[in-house]
Amino acid sequence: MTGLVIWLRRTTARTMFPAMVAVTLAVLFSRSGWAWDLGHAVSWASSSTLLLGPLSAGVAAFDTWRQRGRGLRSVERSALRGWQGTLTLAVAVWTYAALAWATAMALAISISTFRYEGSGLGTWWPVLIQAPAALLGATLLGAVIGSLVRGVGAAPLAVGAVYATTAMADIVLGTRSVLAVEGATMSLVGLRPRGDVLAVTLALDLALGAAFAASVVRREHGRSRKALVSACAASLAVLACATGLVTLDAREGHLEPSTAERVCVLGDVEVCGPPEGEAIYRVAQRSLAAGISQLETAGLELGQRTYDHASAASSRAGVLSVDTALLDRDGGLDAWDVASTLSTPLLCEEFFDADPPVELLEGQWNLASWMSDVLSGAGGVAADERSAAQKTLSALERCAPESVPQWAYTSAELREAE
Amino acid sequence: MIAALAAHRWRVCALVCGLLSVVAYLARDDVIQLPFADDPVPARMLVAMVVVAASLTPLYATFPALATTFVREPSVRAARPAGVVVLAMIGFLPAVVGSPEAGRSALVDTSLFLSLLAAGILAAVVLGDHAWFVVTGASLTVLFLEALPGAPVAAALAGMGLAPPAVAVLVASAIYAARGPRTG
Repeated sequence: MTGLVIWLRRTTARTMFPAMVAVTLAVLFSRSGWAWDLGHAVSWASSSTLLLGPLSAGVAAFDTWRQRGRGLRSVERSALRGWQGTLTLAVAVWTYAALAWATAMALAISISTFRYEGSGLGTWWPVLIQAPAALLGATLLGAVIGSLVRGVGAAPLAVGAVYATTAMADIVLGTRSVLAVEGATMSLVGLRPRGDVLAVTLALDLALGAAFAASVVRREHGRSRKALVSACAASLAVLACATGLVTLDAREGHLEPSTAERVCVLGDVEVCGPPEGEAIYRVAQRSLAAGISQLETAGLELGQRTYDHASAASSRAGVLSVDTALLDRDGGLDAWDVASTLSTPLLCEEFFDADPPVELLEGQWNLASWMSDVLSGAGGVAADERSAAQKTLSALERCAPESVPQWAYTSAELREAE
Repeated sequence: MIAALAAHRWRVCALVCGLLSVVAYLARDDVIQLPFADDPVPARMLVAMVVVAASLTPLYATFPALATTFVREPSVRAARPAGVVVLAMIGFLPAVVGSPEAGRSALVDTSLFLSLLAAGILAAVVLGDHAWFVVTGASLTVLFLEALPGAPVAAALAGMGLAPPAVAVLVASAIYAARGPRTG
């Protein structure tokens, strides 16, 4: 413990800590829309490991070269627990990197929970273990490079090595979460991580960490048989995990549809979907209700009152389109999202045909353009346009491509662009 | 003279910047698809990052505490950032000059190059030997953000123009000339 405290004071990572926090925060706030569900927030806040891993490896390599001189190493060799020296240094660097990650994570979780009432960490909690494990593996790889290359090149080489390991894992094993955690840039409502892939990836990170740790000890503290045996055992575990990932077909995806019971936000308009998106449905429901009443004032009759989130869509209800990056807590759904939701009153089976009927898709596009103009007051007031819109809507409500009227509507925005 | 140049790694730095200028010229219109990135990034951007990281090496302290006792250190210290800026320009400018699709993208990359250079020189003053961390960290973050849909950094840099980062380079150089790198 004393050793760790000493290294926590001596390591370069202490000076670099503000920069590490700056990196994680810059990544976190470079996108919006992640706060709507906690799973997405946790996943996105972990994506900074892709940068923190290489950086903390660089620091570990730099410190192993710079702070551990010849004298210190020879003293350590004669000490009973001297072999812990380099590892303690790596753990100290890791502590700072993990703290930087935890800062952004705590911020993301509290914004999502308290400001957006984003519900359901659900099946995403393992990410909270995976990210520190990935960082530890990366830092230990940095220590290995630092003990091999004693010079200025150690830090950049370590940065490159961690990045290359993650990239190689992506190419060979089909997972982007080795020595890093892949973050989602899109909403994760209706998705959950595949448990088996996640467990094996985590094991792979830990096995890599163990292999690196054993190599550092062997490299820094002479020919210890124990270190050699540990390095071999850990390498076997790495191989086993890698084979496991290939067998599990991780390339086919590390996500699967969640099977949670769907929830509904009730009212004049119902919006339903997987429970983790409830905060989204509440906001969407308000916008859709307002949109429907506005369209009805304009003379359109809408039959459908139930809309499902795209991940839980059924042939009984309309499909909610929502881009969480454009979703405003007070303003509601983006205007185009309202129009495209209301112009999909039913998830027609025909949409899944190998050759979906063009009439339906074109009718939908015309209707959505017309609706968005009416909603924003930019046009669509002519009586013939309204009756064509009504006919298109009833055709879409019955999934009848043959009764979609011949009609071409250009939205005001497109007309202006031309 | 040669020994003085060698001590501050000028020769290696000049060689690397010379090689990078060739790379910069050849790759001036390429885009690179990085592993696990959604969108490709311009090669020029990568060149800017490598040039800055490499050209900063003469700024690191060679004789940490001893340097304060050197008679000519103050005057040589003022020349050091000037030399670094010149070498960095030699490394990077071929990527912009004569590029057929120069314009917004070239402006963004030049602006990024100058910002990184200013940050690096300033980091050498504030952090000394740890300046590499700031340059590497900033470069990786920019790459990461640029390769995602939306490209927020490019938009911010394009809005900023060239004047603020150019002034920042001059100010950072002046601070280095006055204070020198942090030692210890």
